[in-house]
Amino acid sequence: MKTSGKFRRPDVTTAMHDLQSRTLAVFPCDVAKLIYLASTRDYNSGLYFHDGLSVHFSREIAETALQSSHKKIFQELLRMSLENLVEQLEVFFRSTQQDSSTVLEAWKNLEPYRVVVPQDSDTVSKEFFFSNIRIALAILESRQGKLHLPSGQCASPLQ
Amino acid sequence: MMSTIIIFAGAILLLALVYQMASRTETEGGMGEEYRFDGSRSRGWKLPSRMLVEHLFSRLDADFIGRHSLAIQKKYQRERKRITILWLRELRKAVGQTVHEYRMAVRTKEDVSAATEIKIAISYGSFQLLWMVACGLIWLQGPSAAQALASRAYDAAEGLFQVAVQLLQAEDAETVPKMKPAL
Repeated sequence: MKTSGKFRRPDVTTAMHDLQSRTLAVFPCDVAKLIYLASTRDYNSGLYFHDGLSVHFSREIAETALQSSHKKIFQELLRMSLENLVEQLEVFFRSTQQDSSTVLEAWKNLEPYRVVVPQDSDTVSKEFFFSNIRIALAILESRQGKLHLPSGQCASPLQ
Repeated sequence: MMSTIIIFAGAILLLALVYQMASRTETEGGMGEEYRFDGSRSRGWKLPSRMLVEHLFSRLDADFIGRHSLAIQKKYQRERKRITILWLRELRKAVGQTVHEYRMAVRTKEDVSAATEIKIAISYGSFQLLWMVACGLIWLQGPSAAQALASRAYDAAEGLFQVAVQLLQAEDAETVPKMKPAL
C-alpha cells in the first residue's frame, strides 16, 4: 500500500469522515462495516477501491481512507467485549435477510471472517479476533434452540 | 533437607518440561514464524500489544461466559489458553530478536558499558524465568492464573526492549554517514 506524501493528511481525514457519514452509516453494525470495507479490497493486490470516493477526492486518498477505516473498525472490534460482539453478530445475521441458522452454519464451516482482517494485522490480533468470533458463534448456536431469530428483521444499530 | 532438594529438582524438571512442551507445540502448530535475522526488518520489530492481553483476561468477558453452559465455558477457556500462549510466544520471539540484534551490535562496539550489559542480562534472565513460569501456570491452571505473571513478563520485555533499542539506535546513528550540505 503506497501512502507516500503525495497528499495531505487532512484530505484523508475528510475522506474518512465522508466514508463514515455516507457509505458506512447505512450498515447496522461494526461487523457489517468491517465486511464491507474488506470487500472494497482487491484480493490479488491488497489495494482498496471505491469509485464514489475516488471521484470526490483522488484514487490514492480514497485508498488510504478505506485502509485506515478498515484498520479502525477492526481495532474497535478487537476491543469490544464478547457480549457486544455476540450482539453485533446477531444484528448482522438478521440484516443478511437469510435464515439465521443458515448464515450461522456457513460462518462456522466456511469461516468467512478469516478474509476480513486488515492485511498488516499482527498474528496475535488476527487470532484473537478469530477466536472471539468462534466463541460468539458457539454462543449464538447455543441460543438458537431457545430463541428463534426471524429473518429479514434488523435490530437497531449498535454504535 | 532432602525433601527441599526433591521439591527444587521437581520444580526445575517441571519448568524444563513446560519449556519443551511450549517449544514443541510452537513447531507443530505452525504459529511461530522463522526468525529472520535481517537488520532492516528487525529494526521495525515490535512487541505484541499489551492491550490484547488485558482483553484476554477481561473480567467482563469472564462474567459473561460464566452465564453460559459448561461447553461454552470450556470452549472459552480453550480459546483463551491458545491465544495467551500465542501472545507469550510472540513476546518471546520479539525479545529473542532484540537480544540477537543487541549481540550483533555489541560485537562491533567497544564502548558498551558493563552496566548496560548487566542490565540486559538481568532483564533477559528475568524475562525467560517469568515466561516459563507463566507458560507453566497456563498449562496447569489456565490463562487467568497467569495474568499477573504475563503482565510482569511484558514489563521485563519492555525494559529489555528499551535498553536494546536505545543502543541499536545509537549504533544506527553512528553508521549513517554524515550528510554534507548541498553547495
